[in-house]
Amino acid sequence: VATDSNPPTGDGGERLRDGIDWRTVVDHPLPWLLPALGLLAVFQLYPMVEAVRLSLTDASLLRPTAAYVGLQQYARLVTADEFWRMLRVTGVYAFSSVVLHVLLGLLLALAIDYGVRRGLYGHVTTRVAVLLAWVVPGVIIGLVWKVLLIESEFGAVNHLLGTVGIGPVAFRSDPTLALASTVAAGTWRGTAFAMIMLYGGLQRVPRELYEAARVDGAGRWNRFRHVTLPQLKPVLFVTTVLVSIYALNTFDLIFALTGGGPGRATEVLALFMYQEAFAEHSIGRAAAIAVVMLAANLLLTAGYLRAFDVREEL
Amino acid sequence: MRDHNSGATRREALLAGGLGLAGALAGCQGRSGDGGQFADSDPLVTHERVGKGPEAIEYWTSEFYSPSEGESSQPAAAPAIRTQHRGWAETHPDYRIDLSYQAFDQWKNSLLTRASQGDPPPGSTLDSFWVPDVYNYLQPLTDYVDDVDDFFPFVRETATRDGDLLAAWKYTDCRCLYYRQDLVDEYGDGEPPRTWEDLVNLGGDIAAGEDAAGFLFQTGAFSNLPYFWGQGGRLVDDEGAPVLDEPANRRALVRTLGFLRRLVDEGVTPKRVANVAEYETLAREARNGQTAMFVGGNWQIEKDFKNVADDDRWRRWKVAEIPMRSADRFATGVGGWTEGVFLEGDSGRAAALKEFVSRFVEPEAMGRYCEAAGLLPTRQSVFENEDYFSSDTFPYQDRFRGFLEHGVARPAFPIYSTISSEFENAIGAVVTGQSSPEAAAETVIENVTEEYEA
Repeated sequence: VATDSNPPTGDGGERLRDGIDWRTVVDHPLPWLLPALGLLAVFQLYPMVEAVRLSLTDASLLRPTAAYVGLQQYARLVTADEFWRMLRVTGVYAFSSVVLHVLLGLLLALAIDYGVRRGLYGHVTTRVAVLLAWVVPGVIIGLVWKVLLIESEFGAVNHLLGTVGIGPVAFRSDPTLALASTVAAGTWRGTAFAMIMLYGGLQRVPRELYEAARVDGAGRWNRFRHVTLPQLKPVLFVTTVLVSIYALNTFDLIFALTGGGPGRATEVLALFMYQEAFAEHSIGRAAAIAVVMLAANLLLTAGYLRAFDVREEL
Repeated sequence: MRDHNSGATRREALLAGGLGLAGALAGCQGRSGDGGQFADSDPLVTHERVGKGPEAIEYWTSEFYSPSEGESSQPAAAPAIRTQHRGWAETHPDYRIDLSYQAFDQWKNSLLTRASQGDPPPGSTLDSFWVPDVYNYLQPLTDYVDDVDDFFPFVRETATRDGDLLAAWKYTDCRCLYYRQDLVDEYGDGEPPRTWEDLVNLGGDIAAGEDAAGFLFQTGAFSNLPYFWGQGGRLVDDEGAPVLDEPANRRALVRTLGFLRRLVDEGVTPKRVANVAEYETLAREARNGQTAMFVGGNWQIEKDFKNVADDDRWRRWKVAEIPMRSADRFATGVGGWTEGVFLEGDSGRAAALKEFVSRFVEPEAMGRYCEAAGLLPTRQSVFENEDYFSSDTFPYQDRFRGFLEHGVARPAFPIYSTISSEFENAIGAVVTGQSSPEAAAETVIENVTEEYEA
């Protein structure tokens, strides 16, 4: 036991009066992880546990007390037609978004990478322009698109279409077009993120591989397919996971652009959860939706992990 | 030695700093605690507070109701509010109302979240349709408000529960048909439509003859519930249970949704009406010549037409009762704002706050405020007292008073929130062709019943 009279250990470590061996402490990962674990516990784990707990109650903003009701909130959800309708809308929105974000992000990243390698002008401007869409908050994007898509000659898009004899197009009052409009606005914003990630991934592809492929007679398509894509796989995995989570949880943009309408044509699960919590005041049911969304995110990530087969790279 | 000395110096410095900070805080506490933090020359009422007493009471409100012209969202009404507040402050020298201005979007959610955790603010201004949602938290004002029978019936029905007045309803509003007189003269007989049939015929003719919509409306529930009420439809029974599944109510709901669908199908109203969520949108389209008629709020003739017009063109716009299925029964939705108290008890701070709130509905204060702001009093006697309220100050006030006779407030039960959002979704689904009126009505009934039973 270390005491005041203990001599120094002689290995550069310090023994303090209370007997703590700082060398041991410093070498142990726990002290370094503790701040992060503490923050995760307070800001991630606790709300998650609280959401699960609330989902098992009939908590409402209209009364101060709540009772545990078991899985009743989940049972109500799965037996409600509207839940399945919104799940379908969320699925369509998320799937379209993921495909478009990743494909367009990859195209942009390849184009910028090509421009950089060729020393072409404008690649910095392009990157900045695309990034601008990413830094603007979703609510603002929603409002900007709402103004752009006004269904009369006062809307910019309909005005332009009108000059060639088209429209006015019911971008927000036609159920199908309204969903397409939300996907378009989300893609306009989210493609920037995919582009940044994939452009970063492209920078770490060794140039020698392209040279070797070229020597072996591989054309552009084959170089892309057999060199670029395999090398990008870990980044593609992370990008797809993050874009999927972003798409599944989208709330602000849709709230501002369509408010979930017309009717409930663009009401995704995140918006449904908000409505349940703050329009219906049913905190228990909203928490159940939150837990379902959490489960969907986890399942999707597990699915991607299996599909991309990137355990070793990660 | 040096280390020891420097350690002592650090401790001394920390101690000195701590003492200094504690002294400063104690000084602050002493200033606020002794009631001497305001000089005699400080005004009694400012944007931030009412009164100068040492006992502070937090009060949530909107900048619309600021007593300071420079900060108020309706400066013309600020002097009336200031006079009312000064009266309270002079009689309550030991108390002070600290006004906390809320952002409208988050106000109700913040209020409900805090109240459900047992920590509501002492008092708050409340939209009249929030009142049923906070019934469980509001404290009675019955002993503080005189002559409750003088209020319009819809006020008594909504703000009273188990014989207790729970909210001081300070002004009201109503919905009505706005129409362009020149177009009604040109395409009709000069009289505004009184029935659905009249509206479809006149609106259709105007839409066909002009580059404008014949009729527009906001797709919110409250703007369209008058069609339902005008057929004698009832949303809930006396106990607050939804009764939409009763045959007469179901029929009224289907007919209402069918009428809205017909407006779109027959070209009277464009399909983009599904996106009209704000009254301001209607007024903007009206000013731009994009619609000939719409259902709007009484406040809009002053705020959205007269005040923004450079000339007399706003006079082309007239008001009438909302057209009904048959012309023998009218209805309009009435709203407005109230004041409420969450502090329990009838002494000390609670009594002071209840007296503060009750002043909003004293006839003179109500009349002065409504006259200045162009709003409608909730006391019938105020309309009749020229000393308090002159109906000549704003356009069509006499007409609006008449419309109030058919006023229907939102049902004073929490299930209304569900009815409202379901009805709104049904309107969106019907006017965009996603659903038939019958199917949409069935969905409303199913979801409302399921929510109520849960």
